[in-house]
Amino acid sequence: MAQEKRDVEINSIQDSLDMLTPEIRPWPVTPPPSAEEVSTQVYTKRKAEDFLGWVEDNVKFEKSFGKAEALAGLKVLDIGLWRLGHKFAASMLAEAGAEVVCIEPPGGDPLRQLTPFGREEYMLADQETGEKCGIEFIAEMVNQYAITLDVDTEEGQQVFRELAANADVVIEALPPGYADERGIGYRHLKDLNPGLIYAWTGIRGQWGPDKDRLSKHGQWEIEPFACASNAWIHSTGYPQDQLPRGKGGDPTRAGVWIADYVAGEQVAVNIMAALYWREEFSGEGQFIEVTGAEALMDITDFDMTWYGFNKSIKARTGAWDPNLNQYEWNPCKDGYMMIGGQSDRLWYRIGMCIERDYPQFGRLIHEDPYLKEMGARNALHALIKTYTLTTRWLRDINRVQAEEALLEYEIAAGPVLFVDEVCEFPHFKYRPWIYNCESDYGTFLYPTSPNAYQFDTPHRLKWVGRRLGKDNGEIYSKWVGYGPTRLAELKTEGVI
Amino acid sequence: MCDVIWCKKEVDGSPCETVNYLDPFCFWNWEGTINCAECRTVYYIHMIQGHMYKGPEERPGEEPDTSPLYADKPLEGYRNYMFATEGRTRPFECMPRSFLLGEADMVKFSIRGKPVRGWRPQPESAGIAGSFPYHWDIQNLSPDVWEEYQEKIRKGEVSDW
Repeated sequence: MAQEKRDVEINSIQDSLDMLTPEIRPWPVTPPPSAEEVSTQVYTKRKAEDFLGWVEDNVKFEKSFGKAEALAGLKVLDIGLWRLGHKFAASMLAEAGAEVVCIEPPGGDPLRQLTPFGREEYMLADQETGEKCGIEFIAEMVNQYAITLDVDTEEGQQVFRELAANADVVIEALPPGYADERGIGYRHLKDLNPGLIYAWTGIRGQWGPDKDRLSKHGQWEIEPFACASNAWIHSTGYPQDQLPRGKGGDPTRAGVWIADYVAGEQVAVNIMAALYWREEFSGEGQFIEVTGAEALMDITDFDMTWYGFNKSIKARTGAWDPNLNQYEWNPCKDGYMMIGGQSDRLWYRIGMCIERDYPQFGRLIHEDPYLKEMGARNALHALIKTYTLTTRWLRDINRVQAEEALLEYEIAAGPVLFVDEVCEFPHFKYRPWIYNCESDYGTFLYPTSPNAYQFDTPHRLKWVGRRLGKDNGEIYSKWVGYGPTRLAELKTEGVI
Repeated sequence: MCDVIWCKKEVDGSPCETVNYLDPFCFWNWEGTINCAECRTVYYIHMIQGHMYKGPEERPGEEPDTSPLYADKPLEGYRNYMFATEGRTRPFECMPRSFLLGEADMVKFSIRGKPVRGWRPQPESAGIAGSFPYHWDIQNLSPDVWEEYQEKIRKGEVSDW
């Protein structure tokens, strides 16, 4: 599995461009542990060979492709621009076996052009046409067919209605009211297809007083507004008391479009429930709306309850957890180290481990009468003291050394990994949670679906990213019976 | 020394023996002067990657750039200086909008009229609320809040709702 390593001298960007393809930069760099090694060294130690052998025999990734798909036969239409939420929801259904068709305008979703720092060399070229596409778009188009359709034209709207009449589910992420205005919203489609489940997803909602707050799409349809409008950004990062404002103690956004992902997941849950309702009880579809702002608000812990209780505004706490000690990541020699504790058992074991190298730790921490009680350790001064001295130990060692030392004492500890380390993490390579898949744009390193480990109907990734309009012929023929002549007409008119 | 400054300055014939804690995220890479929370001796330190590259060196007569967040005296029963002790430790307001809105209004009672720990159960000098979570002795520790609570009970403003 491992390929030959080679030394590369990089003097300019030109020297590194070739390394962007997996053929040159192989994965994995080191092979994963073998099944025998894992069984003898890990499972046997816990006397769990039987149970884990049984689990592995049934859920291992390579066994999934011969199994049934839970949503086989479910037809889903997915339409939206610029957003990831609807694509993520549609991809989740597609991984479970649904036939998902992603509709883009004839010019393509602008998301295809998004690339880090606008650099074309980070885009991937279609292997047949050479057309460049951003990695984000490709990665979010899991198992989806790609067709084109201009729903701004009357003909395009008619074609959309025909497609929707044949669909079980429509996932829509156009600006609020956009589809309804064009006669292709739920109100119009439900007459054609009463069983249709129609899910709209956006940032703040299609209705309500702020629905028209302006942005490039006519409302705040941009992911960071979802994070900003529910205190997510406020709560992420360091307090300015710990690092001065402007020097790190600032509100911070998540590194990904998290509101879109969370909303997308909720869309998928909504659709599943609506399907059950349709199949078991009503026989009819329904309209669903999910917003990123509210989906994220649902996972902001107890912040709002606390405010409602006594007007408290929960502050940012950075790497530290205000409810637990130790329960943090702190700097070490080559990065950051996460250590988890809190109970007496773990508290004193962490101390025993650190005291081996830094005897003063015991004097200042374990002998401090204010730190004897579990709850008392959570006071802010206790966090400052504990983490200062823990870091005093961590500064001299790297993550591997810290992890080895702490695990010897059976303490929950793990390094904060960089993404290259994640991809080479033996555990993830073994399952394998990460693997190579083929796409129109070449080989693609991708994490598998978290729903892939099911006995009977595991979700699975079959392909990512399709070039623009690749499936026009197949899908239009299969769903609405259009032949080549009709497609050529639509193409000439600019409808597809 | 590194992440702590164990102050040995002679004060009235004996060493100060105060441990000043330099929290990792602020001081991991930091250069400047900092005071001892007890004797207020000003030290120059230059920290790189958590290591004390230079210092602590005494800088008499200089104003400190910052203060430790917390300091204690392990040789005297762990007597301590909480954060936000004026002139000794650095403020830690934990109030995200205080720099825009001024002083935070400490909440003493819930909407049901019951005392809540948004206020200071200790004298002001002890620091911010919740520092000693198991001492819930309102009557002795914050007699003013206790009085106010009794008054509320008399007026029927405390409910179980």
